[in-house]
Amino acid sequence: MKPRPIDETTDLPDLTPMIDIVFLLIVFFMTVANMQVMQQVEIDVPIAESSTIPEDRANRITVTLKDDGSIYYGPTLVVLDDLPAIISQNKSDVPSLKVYVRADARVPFKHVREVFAATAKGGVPDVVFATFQSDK
Amino acid sequence: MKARHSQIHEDKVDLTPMIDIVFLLLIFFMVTTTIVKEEADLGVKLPSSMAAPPDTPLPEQHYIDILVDGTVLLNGMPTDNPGQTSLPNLTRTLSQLKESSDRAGLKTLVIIQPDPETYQQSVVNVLNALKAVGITSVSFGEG
Repeated sequence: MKPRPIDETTDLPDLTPMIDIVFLLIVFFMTVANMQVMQQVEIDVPIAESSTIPEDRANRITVTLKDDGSIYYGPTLVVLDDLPAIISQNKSDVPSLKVYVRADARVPFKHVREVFAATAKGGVPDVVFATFQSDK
Repeated sequence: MKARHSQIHEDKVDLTPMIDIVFLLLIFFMVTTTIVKEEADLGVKLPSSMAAPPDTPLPEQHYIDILVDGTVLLNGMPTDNPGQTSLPNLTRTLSQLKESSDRAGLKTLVIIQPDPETYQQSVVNVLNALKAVGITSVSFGEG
């Protein structure tokens, strides 16, 4: 029988690929976790089966409406009276601006109507409601 | 001089503690991250933008009232039970109405009149039905 070549590390499996994969996973989860914290105010958006997932989310600003009626422009809390100025300023930078309204499913409609009015005052007719396609 | 124990593995760095830490980090991030569900779009074009040419025929108008408990009335007639996300009766009736106005060459305009206190979900249910039927001219009136 041929003698086995002397290999000092035969008893240790090579861990390098596993460590590579694990690092990749860590980086993935860190990035995902941070993005979620940075971007969105937490609300329950309504469910609408006919809604469509957009290919392009450019040219839109996000207005979030919580169930207590408080309004957020992006992640910042704003008052209703400031909203038209914010919208028209964005509109002058981006003419094809859409306002993405993330209204909580349980917010009374009167608050949504106020946001509509502010949007129209800011000169933007395109309003998009945030929805989930299903409750799952 | 004292003899070294593991002469064989002297040139290898011991990776075990690092792998322990890395696994702990991985588990921490997996547990704290909730996978975000992707939000979808339901568009509304506010009527102020629609500048119609003067010779446009008047559209066929229908009124949808949404009561505070979410009951939906189409032209004053109750359609579906409140609390439903899908509105099958409303969808069916609207699609018939749209078909007949399409045949007559008229546009269908729906004016939604939600109660100020009704939940956004009820309004979205109606918009959802309108989108399913293909009615794009929507306006909001006072409920």
